[in-house]
Amino acid sequence: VNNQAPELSPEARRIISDARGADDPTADDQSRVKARWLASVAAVAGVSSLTEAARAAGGIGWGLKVAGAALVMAVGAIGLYVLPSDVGRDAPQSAKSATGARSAALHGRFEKTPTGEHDVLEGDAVKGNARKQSAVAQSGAPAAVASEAAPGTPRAAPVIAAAPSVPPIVEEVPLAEAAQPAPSVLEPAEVPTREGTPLDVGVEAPATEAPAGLTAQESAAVAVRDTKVPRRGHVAARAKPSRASALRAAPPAAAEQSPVAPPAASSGKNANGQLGEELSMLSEVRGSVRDGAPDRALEQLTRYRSRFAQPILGMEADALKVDALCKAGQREAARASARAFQNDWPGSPLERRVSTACP
Amino acid sequence: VIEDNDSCATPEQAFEQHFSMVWRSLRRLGVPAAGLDDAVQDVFLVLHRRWADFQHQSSLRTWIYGILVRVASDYTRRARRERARYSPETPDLESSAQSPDQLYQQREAALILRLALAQLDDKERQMLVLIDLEERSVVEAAEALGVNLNTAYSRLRRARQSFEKALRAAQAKRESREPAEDSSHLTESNGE
Repeated sequence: VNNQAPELSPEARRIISDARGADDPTADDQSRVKARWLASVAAVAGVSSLTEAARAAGGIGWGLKVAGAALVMAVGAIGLYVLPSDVGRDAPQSAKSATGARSAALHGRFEKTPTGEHDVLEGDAVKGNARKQSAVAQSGAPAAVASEAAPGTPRAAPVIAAAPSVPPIVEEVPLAEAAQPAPSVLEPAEVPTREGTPLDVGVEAPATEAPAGLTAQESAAVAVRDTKVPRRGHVAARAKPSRASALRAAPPAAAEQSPVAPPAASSGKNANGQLGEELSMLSEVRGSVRDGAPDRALEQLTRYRSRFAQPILGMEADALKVDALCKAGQREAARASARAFQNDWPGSPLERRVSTACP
Repeated sequence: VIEDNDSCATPEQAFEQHFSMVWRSLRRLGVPAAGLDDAVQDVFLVLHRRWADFQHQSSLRTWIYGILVRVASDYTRRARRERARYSPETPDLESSAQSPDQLYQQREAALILRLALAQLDDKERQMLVLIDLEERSVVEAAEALGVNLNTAYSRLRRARQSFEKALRAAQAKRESREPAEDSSHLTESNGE
């Protein structure tokens, strides 16, 4: 064992030391990214909180914009998924303010992103949602969204139920409103006043036909109501078996309580770039495994592998492969895959799950 | 370093605590400025999604390194595909000429550093960034990168050698372009 490496030369150390701090982010960078992250999380995982997002945004301007964005998602989702239920009662009125908030949010975002490239990237994450929601908002409060020409007001559950690979429904909606003045930015940000009501929507809601609807409902409710900082375990709890019936969740061997992270049912396309694509492909795989179509899952995994030479979520894909093989009755192969998994991903958080997936 | 990370109870806390490190490391691992926001966000999205799975088998920070290294290599690969090869952008250097000396020196060093890092292969760069820039232990780096300790050490040896060489080349390149007033200091102050 040669546990030695030459020290760096003094000159190299000088350069490193001189450069210290040069690549550090500014406080603005941090608020901006955090705001976006939380917004994506809200969209992707169905977990977030307005106030947290607003607080994260730091500056009042960003706070409002972010709160607006989160609100849009929340309200949109409510309009979309929850209208049929009693929670839906609140949708129309909130939807109205959401429109303002949405354009404010988009507005802010575009101001904030000087480069074209960024616009596009962010657009994927935020516009996608905002648009989707806005189309929804339209159904709730047509007057408020007059400027918006949503082709075919989407109906909730079907759209998302089909989800993982479905592009954002309203992809085509022009973003005209982004250019419009944002009416009363303040109002929308203030709207959600129902905090404090602990919510347990979703967990017991009937799920199987419109699983994603459930998910979205839950997430909407969470986003609107849960103004507390999500606690550790919070996320997990929601992602766990209680939700197994929901589209996003657990692999069949939900035996072990760590499902391969909750993927984004409705979010695939909304997350940025490759990660988003991977998310959506893997949630299809998961869906296939769950629906008892392991062969299809294996095909999907093959496609996934050829699509991404170096996937970000390769570990999760490998874990799913074990599940799929096992379910397909190829127990020997499953066990071999499980062993390969331990080799390839030493210390993986999924290790335990994988090793017990196919006893 | 003060941060003792395992105290993070929520993804948000993890974000607060590790954001700078993630940002900086992604940058140094070669993620282009234009993609930095997204790359950082990706890291924390993965973190958020896997939060429930994280079982404290390693430290949170180590776990985050593992994620960010993968995200970074994805981004740099993509960037490399777009341009023929990854080359650090220089725009911020143009303006730096007017900056106060110290700032200039910092930026110049940062540029040279980035130029040099760009010459390393991915694995060397990861090792160097974790160990010499982020000042993590070899053990931690090995864990984050999923390699055994011997591999980590030999990679570190190669990384440091390549880095020294790349650094000299980068300095030479910078000086030939715009001789800095303290160039003597920059070049061979410490004959090895």
